[in-house]
Amino acid sequence: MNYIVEMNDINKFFPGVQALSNAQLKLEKGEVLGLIGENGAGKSTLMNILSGVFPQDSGDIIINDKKVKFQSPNDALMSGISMIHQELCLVPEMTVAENIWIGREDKFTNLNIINKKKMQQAAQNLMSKYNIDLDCKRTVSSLSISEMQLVEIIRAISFDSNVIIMDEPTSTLTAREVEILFNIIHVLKKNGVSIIFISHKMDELFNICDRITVMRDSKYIDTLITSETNPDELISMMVGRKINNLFPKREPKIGEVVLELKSFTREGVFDNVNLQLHKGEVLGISGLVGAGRSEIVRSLFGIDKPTSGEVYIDGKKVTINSPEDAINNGIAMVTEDRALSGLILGVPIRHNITIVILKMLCKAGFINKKKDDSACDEMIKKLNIKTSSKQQLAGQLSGGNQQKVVLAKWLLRHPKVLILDEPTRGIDVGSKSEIYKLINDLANQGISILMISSELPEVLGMSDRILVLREGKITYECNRDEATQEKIMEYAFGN
Amino acid sequence: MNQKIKKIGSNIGNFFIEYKILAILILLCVILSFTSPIFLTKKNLINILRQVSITAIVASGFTLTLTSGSIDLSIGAVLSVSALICANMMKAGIPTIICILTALCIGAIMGAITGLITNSFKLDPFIATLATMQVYRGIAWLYSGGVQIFEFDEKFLQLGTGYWGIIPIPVIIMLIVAIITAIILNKTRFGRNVCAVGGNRVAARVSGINIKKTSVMAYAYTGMLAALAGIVTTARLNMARPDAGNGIEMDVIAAVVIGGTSLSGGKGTVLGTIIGCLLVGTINNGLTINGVNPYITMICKGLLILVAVILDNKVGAIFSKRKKEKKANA
Repeated sequence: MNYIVEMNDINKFFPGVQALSNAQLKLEKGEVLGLIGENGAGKSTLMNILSGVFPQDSGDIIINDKKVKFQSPNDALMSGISMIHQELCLVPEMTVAENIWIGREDKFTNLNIINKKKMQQAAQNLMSKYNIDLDCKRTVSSLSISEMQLVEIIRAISFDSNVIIMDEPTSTLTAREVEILFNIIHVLKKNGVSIIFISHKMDELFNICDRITVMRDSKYIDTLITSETNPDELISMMVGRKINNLFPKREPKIGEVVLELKSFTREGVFDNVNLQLHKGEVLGISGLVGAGRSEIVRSLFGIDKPTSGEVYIDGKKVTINSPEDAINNGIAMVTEDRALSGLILGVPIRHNITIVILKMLCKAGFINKKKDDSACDEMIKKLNIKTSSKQQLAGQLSGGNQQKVVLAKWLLRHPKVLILDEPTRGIDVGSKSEIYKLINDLANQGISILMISSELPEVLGMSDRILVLREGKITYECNRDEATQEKIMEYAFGN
Repeated sequence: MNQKIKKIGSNIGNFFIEYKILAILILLCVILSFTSPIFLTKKNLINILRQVSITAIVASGFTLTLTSGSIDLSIGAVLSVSALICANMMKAGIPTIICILTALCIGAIMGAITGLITNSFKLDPFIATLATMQVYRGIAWLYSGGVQIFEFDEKFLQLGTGYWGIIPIPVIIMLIVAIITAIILNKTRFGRNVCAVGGNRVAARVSGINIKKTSVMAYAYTGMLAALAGIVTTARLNMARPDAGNGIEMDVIAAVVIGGTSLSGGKGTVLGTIIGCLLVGTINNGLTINGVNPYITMICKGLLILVAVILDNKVGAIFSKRKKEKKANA
């Protein structure tokens, strides 16, 4: 078998942790190879080595039957390997075209002066080649997150690499854009490009990958042909144990209306939204990215100001002008982007956990250390947050554990209404199932949950009722038994 | 037994990693004790402490504001205005204690105004406080008419020239201020909120913290401490002048940054700030008693800041990487 990329017996040790132990990877020419594993399994480290970010301690990398040694990402690029990273690395103030060609402007220079028109045209040609409708003259800061992701993808492709590594490329894409990406991948395949596709999403992996490699705890586990396996088998290989029923069984005890929005409007963003949330209910809100879902809850929570409309808690009208007001009315919100607005990464976990209830732990302004400690310990235990100490900085935790810290901080406040905006984005399967179980438990305890999610299986698996939003308006409402993926998609896209 | 020694050893090690500049300070003192017989004398060491005390008082407040994510360049001007007001009141015969308290309030109010302007208009603190610095400085000159005020009450002068045992009063005040600030930063809700606002303003807001209130209070605290420093300066020199505190912001920023408080906010150490003040003061003193040209001292101060920040970045990065991997393995 002729492999275009072979990684054999790769070992990588960082002070304190063996990141890779005799890991391996074999990529066939023109195939799409899925790479899966829980956070910490070693996928990113392995790919960082392949893309030249840092070298392995021992083991070989063989590209096209030749042994190679990368000293920098540039070496990897020269060898035909490019990578799309999970975190967007674009310059917001520059245009799409400038970002795509950044560092390679000399392709378009004459006597050191850049021909901007040529650069712009080249970028636009690339976009058309892959059927992407994006104006390359736009500045990146004006793009939505999913559009930025598309720019990253096009940039990686523009290197004409033989191997493209895609690290969670669909985490911020809508279903339509995922389709565009998959079409791009098909075109690339036809042209002989090989792709390594890292993802947590089973349905995508089974859609696009020819084979799937599984890693666990720094080791290589196995590679399976996609058509000869199934998600459950892969999941049990990833976690080393069987996870039955990712979504816990819901036995909802639904009560009175706890939260009601009437004619909730924010000009240009969402219009005349009327919704009711009952006690103990999980209300799922589906729709395309940009439909206005996050914007509704942000206005509800007092982060943004709505133009008009009313909010009722337990039947009483309330005014919410700031997050403080929302919290005092029993609302809690886990935001879409935990790094941006959910956590303070540079301070210890304990600070983050008790930040909302701090007043209650204080006497005359002084923090009661014992109460502070016990509140933290209680939450770390209850949510199974994996950390060596409360003093560990929040930024050092894995995605799943970070999300648990955010949840912990809100749960300490015993909210009536818990808003979850994309609660499992960027989180491994093990942590996901823990969070789903937690959501279920909370709902059973009588907490009302408003869950925004772009993952259809999640919406269908967790919600008691589902609302679909399109372009700022609610277009569909149904119970869980009536809901199907097709129906939701239909109302999310519109006719 | 061996285990215990090992643990104590590693704790001491960790302490010095956190406070590397303390190690540098000690090293410096050792070196200086060899180059000049005067250095390690009681008189000289107390001199150093007294000389840094005024800067240290302001720097303690600055540490709090910087941790909240705001830099306040107007501290020198606030120092001057409050000192002048206090001086004039004392000259007018008003009881000293009332003058002092009024000056502290004025300092707090001036700080609060700066804070309100910066927060309400969402201005960059660097530019905003640069502006208020000019305004307040102008007020100092206008108010004083360009004239210095002398000759104060004996008891008042004790604040600047008196002793408690062998320790000068300004040093005592510095220590009290430092301890109180450290307690506020580490043990109070306000202190935690300051770290939160400085660490991630958006997340702090979403978590229900009143950003404006926290920020303005931090500014007010700094203003009050600037006023206190102004009072001590007046007592020490027996003179209040409109150009008092001119340029003090440079020394304060140097001390705070060298001490380890992050320029971007979220992390602050008062102990670090005091050590930073001591380091700068020791270098000043060391160079002076060794007869070095004062202009060279200026250059040295600048180099010191560079070295401290470079070392901090490099060493800090290595250790945070190690810690990261250690935790990842756990």
